Amino acid sequence: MGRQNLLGSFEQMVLLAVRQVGEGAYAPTILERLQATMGRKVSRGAVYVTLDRLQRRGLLTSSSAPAEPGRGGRPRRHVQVTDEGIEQLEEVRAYLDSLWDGLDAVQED
Amino acid sequence: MAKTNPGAVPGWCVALLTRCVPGRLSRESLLGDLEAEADAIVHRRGPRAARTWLRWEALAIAARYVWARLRQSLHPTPPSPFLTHPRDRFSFMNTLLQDVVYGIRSLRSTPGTTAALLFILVLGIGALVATFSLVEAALLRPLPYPDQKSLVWAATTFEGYPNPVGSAPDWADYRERSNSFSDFGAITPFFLPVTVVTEREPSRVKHAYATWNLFRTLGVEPVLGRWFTEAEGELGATVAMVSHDFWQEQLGGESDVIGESVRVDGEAHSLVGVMPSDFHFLLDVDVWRPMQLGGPFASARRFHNWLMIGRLRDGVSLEQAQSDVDVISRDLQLEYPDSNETKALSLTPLADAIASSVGPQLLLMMATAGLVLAVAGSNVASLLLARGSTRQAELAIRAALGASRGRILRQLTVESLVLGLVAGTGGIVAANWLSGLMLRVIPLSVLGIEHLDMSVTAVLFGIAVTVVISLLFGTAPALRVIPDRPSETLRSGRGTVGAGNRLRSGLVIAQVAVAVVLLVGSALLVRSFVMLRGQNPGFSPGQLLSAEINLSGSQQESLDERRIFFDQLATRLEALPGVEAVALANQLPIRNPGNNISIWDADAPPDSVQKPLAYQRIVRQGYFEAMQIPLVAGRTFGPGSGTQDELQFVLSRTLADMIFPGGGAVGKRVSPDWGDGVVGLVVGVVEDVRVAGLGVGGTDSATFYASYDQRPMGGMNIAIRTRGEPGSIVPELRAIMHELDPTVPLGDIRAMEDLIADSIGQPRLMSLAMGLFSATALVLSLVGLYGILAQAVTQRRREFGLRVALGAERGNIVAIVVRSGMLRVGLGLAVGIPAALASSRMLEGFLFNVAPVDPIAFASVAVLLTAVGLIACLAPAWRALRVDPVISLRAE
Repeated sequence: MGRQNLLGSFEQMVLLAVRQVGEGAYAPTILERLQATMGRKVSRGAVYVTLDRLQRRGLLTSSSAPAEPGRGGRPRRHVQVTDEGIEQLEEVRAYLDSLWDGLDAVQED
Repeated sequence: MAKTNPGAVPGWCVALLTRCVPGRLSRESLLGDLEAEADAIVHRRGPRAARTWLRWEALAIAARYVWARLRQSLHPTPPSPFLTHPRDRFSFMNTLLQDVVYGIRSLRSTPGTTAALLFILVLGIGALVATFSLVEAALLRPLPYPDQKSLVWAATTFEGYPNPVGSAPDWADYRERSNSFSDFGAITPFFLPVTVVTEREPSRVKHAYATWNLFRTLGVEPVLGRWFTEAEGELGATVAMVSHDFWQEQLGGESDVIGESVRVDGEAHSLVGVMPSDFHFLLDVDVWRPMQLGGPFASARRFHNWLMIGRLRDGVSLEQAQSDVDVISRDLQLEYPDSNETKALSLTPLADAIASSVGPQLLLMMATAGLVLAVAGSNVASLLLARGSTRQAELAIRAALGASRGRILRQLTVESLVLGLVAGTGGIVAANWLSGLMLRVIPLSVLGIEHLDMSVTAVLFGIAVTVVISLLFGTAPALRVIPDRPSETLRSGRGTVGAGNRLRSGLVIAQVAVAVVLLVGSALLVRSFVMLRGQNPGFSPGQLLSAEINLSGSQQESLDERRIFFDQLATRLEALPGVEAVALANQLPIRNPGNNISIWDADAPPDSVQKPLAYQRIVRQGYFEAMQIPLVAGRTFGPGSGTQDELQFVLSRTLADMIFPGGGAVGKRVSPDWGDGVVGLVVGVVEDVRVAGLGVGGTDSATFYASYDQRPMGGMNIAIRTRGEPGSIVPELRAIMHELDPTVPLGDIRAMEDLIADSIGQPRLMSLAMGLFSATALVLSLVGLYGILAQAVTQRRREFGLRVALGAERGNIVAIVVRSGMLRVGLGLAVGIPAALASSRMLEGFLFNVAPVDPIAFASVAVLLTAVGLIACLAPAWRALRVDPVISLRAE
């Protein structure tokens, strides 16, 4: 069954980057990973806003890591992709794969 | 410790992000991340870079969150005004944001109307703010001189009427004898072009004479060098002061130019001072030379060339100073009855005198812009009312669900403020551009204002206007559509139709009335402009090219050499195939006004006060033929008139009638006030010429012409009658001038028709601006009329259907609609015409040969409004006609 709101491409990339970074992923490391992959600057604000939105939609959970020095005594917010998030990522991937199916061969002609 | 940490997030950033980012953990961790990153930047690039980075990053992130919230609000359902949770930190911001978004959406739902309203409001606010910024600069800002309140304008009066220029010896007497002034200066109110040769190159610049103490009177210090000294006010001193621009452009802006020698019209002058860049007093000139009693323009008590400015001594009031100069005036009248019999001095504060020269026009423009904005605003009100009555059901549901009146009012207020905000911003931006345009309609060069930047005051005025407009025309009408008893509105199934309709009807009548006032004003100005343009200048300005040629400082030093130069120039030009004729005169009509002196019947000299004043012009033979000025009697100057002993004069028809009321001027002898009892023979009479442009009426065409051959001069103006387009012979003119003498500058080449257009340029722009304003008001009031009729037709559809079903003629239906529309137009006219009668008197000073109660203007406005009003009624009437009785009845 299709959903009304498919993941947008930036949302997919953020979710995938969270999984790539793995345990202890938090905004700066996710940003770094995205910039490394895309080879260009990514807006910090866009990452934060997207993380918040994904969490609101239940695709991410976050937990607070204890406050540490050098951060003005402020906590880190570690994020993790939820099962729902993984499910949606795979759903989009399946759609995309089936749409891509056979096109590579055509392009080689 | 935390405070000294350069990577710490600044307080305002914390506050900003706290407002924008929801969720404590998100917020706190974000701030922590920023601080950690900033720390790293401190180590890599230093604390300064870190602070800059932090600020921009915080702003960018906050903007992202605001944008995200806006987008989120745009998509889901309309805001629920009754769901407010007081404990929610974001509730106020959120509902406000929702109101804004909802307002944008409801404006977007009628894009055409919104765009039209915005356009109208932007223009209205723009025009008002632009005129305000002129008013502010001209009337509200103090003059840029220290203690400017003590500066007074001393206008010379004749028989009580301001002249306003006075003579140099009078100036000296007032200065010496009066105790009321700490300083008393004077300046020529006209500029004289001079050729200035510096080390760089010769240039033609504007120049004026000022008394040695004028700058001291005004209290403006030179940026370089010094003021003129009293000794330099004596005959023989050759010194000059220059403007900042001249110093920069012609002297290279070097600081050691003081004492340098510059040649002004061939004579070496030593440079004593450079005035500041923002200094313009009355004239935009580049070179000042000191007035010298007995020197140029200052030789006699009967030559009036000087505007006098005084600075009151501490503790001396204007009234005391006035009675002081009155005593001196009476003494001078007794001492010099020949020249001073009716002369006196009238003091006014300088600021008032300057303001009064532009004040009436500025206030007229501002009142007009204000009226247009009022019409625009009332159209907004009308539209919001119309929407309000269709939205009553929606508002009633909200009220029934628990939204307070205040909450709904807030939403409606926000909606009108959204419109106002966009319009206000656009209006202020437009005003910045429009003020440049306005400066061309109402030049403020007399105040030294050549261009205007929007001042803070003007921006604040724009904001205030916007808020007032939004509240007055947005929220006040909204109050009328908020349901008092929602349950009744809901039960009847539709809004109370009458709500606001009467108000809208009143607004339409008021709009028509305002349109009448503005249309009458612009009709008067247009008629006056047509009168101006229709005047005969007295010569034929088509295919006439004019330029100025000044031989001072050139190789041609003797009068004979100069005469030969001009003869050669004329002969060679006339030999060109593109040239029909050549006229040479010391001053050409329209191009060079001014220079009048007394002239009288040599055989019957009148009393001193009754000597007629006339323009004096020195013209070369062929002048009248080339200018195509018709000969009335006698002859003009022929070749070789210089060889005759007796001076010859040609008079204009008006002057001939003034001096010889009985006629027969030719053959009589006249005496111009050249001193030494000069007498000459009138050889001819020619038609009048509008010497000073088309704008000035009356006796200004009294002129006498003397022959150049008998009275040669160094500087002449040339007018070339061409066969083709006047500009086409400019290259040949330059080539001939260069061959004759490459050092003689050719100044200010202009087609005569352009000069004439310029001389009535300001009235033209004024009538154009008024025309645009009133056309806008007319269109707006018609839109309002159309809107209210269209809505009435929709609301009365059922009634019309019933009437048609019962056998009413279609013509009757049309008559009902047209009657209700024309009733409003009629009421608008009934209010507007008397208002226009009362207000058109304001225009009296701007009208030329048109009375402010000009019946043609009033009648044409009434006819125009009736005609276009009918058109505005017809479209709704057509819609009423097409009502299908069955469908409209079934809809119930």
